[in-house]
Amino acid sequence: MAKSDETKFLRGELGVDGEAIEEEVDAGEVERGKALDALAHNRAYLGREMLTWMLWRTASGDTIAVVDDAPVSALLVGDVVLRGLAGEATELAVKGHTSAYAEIVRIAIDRGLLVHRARLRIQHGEQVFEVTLDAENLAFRAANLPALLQEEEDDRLLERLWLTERLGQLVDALWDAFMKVRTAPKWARTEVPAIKAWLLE
Amino acid sequence: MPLLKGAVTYSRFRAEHHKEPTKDPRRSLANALRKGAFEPLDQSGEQDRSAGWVELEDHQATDLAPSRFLYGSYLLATWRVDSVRVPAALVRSEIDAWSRAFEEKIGHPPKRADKSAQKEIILKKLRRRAFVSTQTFDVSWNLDTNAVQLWASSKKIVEEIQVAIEEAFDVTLHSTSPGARVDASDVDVDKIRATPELFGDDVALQVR
Repeated sequence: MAKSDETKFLRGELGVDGEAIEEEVDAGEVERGKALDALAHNRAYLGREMLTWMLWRTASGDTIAVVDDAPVSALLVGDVVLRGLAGEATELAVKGHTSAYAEIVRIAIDRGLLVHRARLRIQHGEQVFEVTLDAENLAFRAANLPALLQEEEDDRLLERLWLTERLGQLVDALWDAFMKVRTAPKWARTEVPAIKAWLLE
Repeated sequence: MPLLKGAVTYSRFRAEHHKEPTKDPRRSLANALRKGAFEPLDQSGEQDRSAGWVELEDHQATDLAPSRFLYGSYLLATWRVDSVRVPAALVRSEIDAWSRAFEEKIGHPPKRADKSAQKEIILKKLRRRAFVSTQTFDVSWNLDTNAVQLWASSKKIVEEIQVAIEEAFDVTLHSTSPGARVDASDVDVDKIRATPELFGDDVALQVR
């Protein structure tokens, strides 16, 4: 056996007969592995559970949290992306203004694809914010802030910064509301069964 | 300047200081920014990218005096990235032309080593002619609450600015991802495993 063949043999690339060992890579398995990694990274599964819980909670229009004595409610608007493992599918993108509440989305969630990215319209008292959130980082994309009231440029800059921080506080309040339920026994006892029942409506 | 108008896209962090604040925080903040101030690319050199701090309202300015980056309780600055891109197709076509001329003159094609030496010469020549592309990313840091916002959507750029801030200001920036939030809380991680009823039993079991 030539030296290079010996190296290949030691690496497991050649068999004892000197023929190459063909290792079949199952594309489906690779994709499944990637989907599982994505779910675990940054605990994205919790982000997906939160956005999915938000979808369920917002369907009834209830107040989800209170910040500075004003109620916080939300609505999922615009496109929504669902990810997970449902048979051969790992992602479903649904387009349309209120597509998040479409039956097809509930069916997909019931099969294991949870909300990964969604655009939230958050109402806090009189103010309305919009922001696209992803489950992995909860980073803010293309947010719309309430109209600025100040006229001086420096004041407008500080007002805009204040509003971006306010948006952060509101999303933190939604997260806290979710985690309060998520870490309580009622998550398994009542919330999850209620979500599952809603999915089958 | 996305901080003032345009798309509101940013990643959020919380800054944790490693040391007590100095007696003159304005000066130490200025020093930290100046250490990483932007330096223009030398197009005749080897570098094809340069990144560093510039002032929010003037992306050419690197004086970074406190009056230029402190706005009330906020530190506002801009991370500037300049890069030179030489199109690969242009390099290839120049090398092909040189190889043909070489073969005509010498009578045989150039060796691999000759080609790679020539490639370096061509790259240097084209780099001098190439346009420098400039990208800017704003950073806002509320010094009262330590809320930091990196106004960028690219994961790579966010990571680069995060490292630059951590090194310059001797802080750790904690992200607001679900994982980081859980790590920063006293939540019992056994209570927050993936929910089997939502993900499916087999998937939930495999996610840790």
